Amino acid sequence: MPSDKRFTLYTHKLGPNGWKVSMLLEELGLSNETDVKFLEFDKKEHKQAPHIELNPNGRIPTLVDHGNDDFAVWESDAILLYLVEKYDKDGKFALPDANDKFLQLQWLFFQASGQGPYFGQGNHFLFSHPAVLPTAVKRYQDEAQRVINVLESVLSKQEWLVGGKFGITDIALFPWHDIALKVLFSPGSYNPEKEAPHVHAWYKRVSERPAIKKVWDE
Amino acid sequence: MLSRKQFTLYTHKTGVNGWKVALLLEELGLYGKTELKYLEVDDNKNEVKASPHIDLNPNGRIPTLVDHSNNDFVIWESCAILLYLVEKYDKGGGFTVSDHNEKYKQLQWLFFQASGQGPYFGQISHFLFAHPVIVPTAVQRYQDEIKRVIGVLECVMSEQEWLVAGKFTIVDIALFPWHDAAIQYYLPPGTYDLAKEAPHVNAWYKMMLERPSVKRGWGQRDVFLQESPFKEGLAAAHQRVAEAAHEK
Repeated sequence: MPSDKRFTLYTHKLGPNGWKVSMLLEELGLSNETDVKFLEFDKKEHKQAPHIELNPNGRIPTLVDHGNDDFAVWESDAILLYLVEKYDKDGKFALPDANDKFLQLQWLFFQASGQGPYFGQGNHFLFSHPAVLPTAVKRYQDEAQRVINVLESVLSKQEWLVGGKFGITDIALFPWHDIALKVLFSPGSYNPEKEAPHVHAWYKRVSERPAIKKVWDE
Repeated sequence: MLSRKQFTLYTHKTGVNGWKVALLLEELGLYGKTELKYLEVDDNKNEVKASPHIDLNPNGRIPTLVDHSNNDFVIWESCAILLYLVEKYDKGGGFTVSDHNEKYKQLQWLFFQASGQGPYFGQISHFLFAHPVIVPTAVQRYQDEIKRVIGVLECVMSEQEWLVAGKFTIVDIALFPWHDAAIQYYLPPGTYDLAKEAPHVNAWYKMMLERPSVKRGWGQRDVFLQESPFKEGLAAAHQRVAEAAHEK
């Protein structure tokens, strides 16, 4: 179906990975050029046409760039990289140092393989699993703390993870981090300011950015 | 510590992700220029989470690559390492892509591997061997996910020979190791016939097994696996899960 906007973004109202892309679109001033389609998981819209034809994996987000022959790309971190490469005209997210580009990839893969899926398994065993498995929940809660400690060990020595500035790595890490604090850890069991003060400072810095605030509050 | 070779690769003898990098180094003719450090993890020590490795990689997971010809540049995350190696050392572009859109398709599939294949397949290993209690529904969850992921690959490979750019690329190198582990070890024996369930993925898999780099590198891992207690423990692990599931 043709869209008169430059992009179509297939996403979900709660799914954190979709929000990464929405935040970057806002940071790049491209929100108004995006037709956002919130898919309903209980109707399995993500696993059906038209979405499944664009993305055989059937997971959001999926971006279609009508300004590039309806090019479809999925995997949230791949979409972030795509948008920056093609549409970051002011170089807000540019990394002139070639090594920094690889460190950015490293942290994006850390987010995609070590943060998102593990935090997500925690949510699954908390809310969706057919049986109550406290040992499984604990495994993922412990891993979430470990991941935050990894970030703390780096952010205690430098203000930003890559390139000395805010970047797509921060956008990628933010949504799941917020979910860990609000949903994954049992209430009162984790004090972020005490356990990981530099990560907490980073988290506050990111959440105060106008673009992030605007999108995340939605 | 000075290394006379161009690279140092911190890895593990049987850990899956390190072998992705080893396979690419072999394909690029750089294996001989790499000093391999097999870190050990057992009840008494965990070299992956200790110095010197943890000083290079605060996440404390292998693999980690140090490029001594680039000022000892350190990079971790196996897929990021693959991208680094092809960008810098695959001048002919034999294992990567140059077309702009294909470049993003390649990234897409690498992130699919890193987020949707590796971690999910890896959870089975945990729940089979390392979890404090036997939880058959958790094992079932990840076994179902293995089949779903293979189904996604089958859907694409039934329409095109290769995932990206009509050729073998680092995407294939990235996907192969966990796929092999899943097919050989993580599904209950005799319950999944890849040739029948996903014939195109099966054809791709068989082709990968025949590549010289895979025969040599992945074959070496198999030797290490034989030397470890892994295979002995595997049948027993599946049996325990099946019995626990039956009891419920």
